[in-house]
Amino acid sequence: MFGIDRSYYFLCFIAAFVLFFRLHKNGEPPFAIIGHINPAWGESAWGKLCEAMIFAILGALIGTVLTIPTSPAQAIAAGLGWTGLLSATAPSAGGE
Amino acid sequence: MKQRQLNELLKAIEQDSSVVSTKNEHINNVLSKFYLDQKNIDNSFTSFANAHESLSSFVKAQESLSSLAKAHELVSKNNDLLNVLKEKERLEKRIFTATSNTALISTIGAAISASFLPAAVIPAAIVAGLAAIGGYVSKLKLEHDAIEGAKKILEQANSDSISTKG
Repeated sequence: MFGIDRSYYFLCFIAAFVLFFRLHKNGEPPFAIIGHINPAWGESAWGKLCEAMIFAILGALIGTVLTIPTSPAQAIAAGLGWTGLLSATAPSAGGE
Repeated sequence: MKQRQLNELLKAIEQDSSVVSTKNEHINNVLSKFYLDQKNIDNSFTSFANAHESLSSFVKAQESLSSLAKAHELVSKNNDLLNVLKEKERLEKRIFTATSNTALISTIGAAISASFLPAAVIPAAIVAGLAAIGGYVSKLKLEHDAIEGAKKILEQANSDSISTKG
């Protein structure tokens, strides 16, 4: 897709998911969309897992399309950067 | 003649004034007694109010003590479950720390090895992905179990309080 190697999407996805997992603070994810749309589902285990997957898939797509990586290191950096950028700007998962 | 009449008149005035002063003294005595009685009543009322306040504090303290006893009973009843929950929390923290650090280090390792050892990039990324997904799923499962355990304790507390009221 967009002339980008598929393995770069995979690397970007892994990097985004790893940092999303690492940035959990006191059980709260660093960024949450489902929690804002439907708090009850966002609190459930399946909701949180889906949230992480959606976040990493979107991160892989947006990160690779924005940076157009030409090496594995660039793809990983794009995934880490996407998560870091959104988690730094988001107030909290609870939307307070 | 006039002098005598005048003397009689003065005597009469003197007698009247002594009667008035006696009456005044009596009124003064009554008033002072009334004042003392009023003061005693005020003191009694203040003492009564203080006693009432002390009694209400005592009742509140008794209620707090009974709530504390109930909480203690609840904790002693669910001691095993609470210990399991604490153990799960500790395990969750350990798993989270171990898997998240492994995943992050593997990811950074994959990025670094891209320059020196390109063949190691995909295996390192797979290790990072598995560690992150496995750690995340374990964390969510342990969290879910802990929430269910806490719900059980709350239900127990609610049923206990309902049976006590009933």
